Amino acid sequence: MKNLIKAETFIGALLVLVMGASAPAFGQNPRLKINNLEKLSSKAAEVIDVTLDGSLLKLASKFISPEEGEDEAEVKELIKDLKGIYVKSFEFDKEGEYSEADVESIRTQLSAPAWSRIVGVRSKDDKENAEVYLMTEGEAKNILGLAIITAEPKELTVVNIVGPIDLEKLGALEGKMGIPRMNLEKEKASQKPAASHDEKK
Amino acid sequence: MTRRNNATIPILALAGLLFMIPVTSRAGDRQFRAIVQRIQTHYQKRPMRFMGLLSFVANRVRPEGIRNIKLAVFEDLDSSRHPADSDLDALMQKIVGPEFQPFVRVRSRRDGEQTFVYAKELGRDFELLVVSLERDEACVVKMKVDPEEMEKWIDDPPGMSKKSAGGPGHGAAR
Repeated sequence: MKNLIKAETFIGALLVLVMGASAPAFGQNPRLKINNLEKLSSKAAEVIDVTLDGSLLKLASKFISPEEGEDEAEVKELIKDLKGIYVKSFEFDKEGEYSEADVESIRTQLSAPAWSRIVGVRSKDDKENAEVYLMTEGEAKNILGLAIITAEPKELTVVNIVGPIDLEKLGALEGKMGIPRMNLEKEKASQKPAASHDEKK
Repeated sequence: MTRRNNATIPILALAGLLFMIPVTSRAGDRQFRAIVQRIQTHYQKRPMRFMGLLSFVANRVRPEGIRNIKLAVFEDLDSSRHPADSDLDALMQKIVGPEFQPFVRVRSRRDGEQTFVYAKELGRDFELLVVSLERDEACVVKMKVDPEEMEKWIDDPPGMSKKSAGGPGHGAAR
């Protein structure tokens, strides 16, 4: 009987392990908790909050008509398998209204092994900082989600895209669906291996 | 003929009266009514009169792709009674419930404006609930939009919500 209980316990533990391993990197989530930044709303001059998921996102990818321009068709192709696009953007009247700790509250969710930073651009003069993180799964490195943080002295924007996305075409989403223009193409060009994160201009 | 005319006059008068009744009392939508009621209670102000008539006119001159417009406008609100941002967020979410999904929220301290947009799928169409709160005014709009119009909203959510804050006509006037 004791052996039977031991065997059951072992199988149970094994099942938990297997299930845990099959989940994206031990429970890490492609959907970020950006509500952490809500406290900045009271200091911000402008706040934009966009939630695009479920039926709204489905609709956005549904109507691909041949009359539409190449760009529109590209955008729709890009978002057709996405599960959600979430944007939170703050604009402040003066510098220093948000702290490094505020940004860090987002960065801590973007940790290894699931997340990896693929682009990190830091401009010394303009004090602009842009980071692009990618969440992948398995050997095939299937993309599960993407996060972009752009931090300027008077602006802070977090974009979270949940679902598989073609990085080559990411720039096509700039200025659409609440995603601000962030010169992603430029940043992609300066892409470095994850080890050398920061690029001083 | 005279008897027929006699019957027509009360019907026309009744129809006229119906349009003059604030839209809130005829609106079928629970969330729309709940928000209007909440604003009314909080600020101790009634919506502008003839909203029924305005809604009727808005539905006649509505931009393509928008229909079933219901609106309520509040004027001369006491800005000192404006709830805190976080309270307002939670309150709105509680009123609209899970039926409507939060879509856009734009808050501009510079302009003293806050706009909340919630969306609900209605078969092929969408229902949008836009609540705009300014320094001394508030506007609640509920409208049904077709997929083509909705695409405009999805393409530029902050821009469209800013435009629609003044009423449904602004939103689609592109």
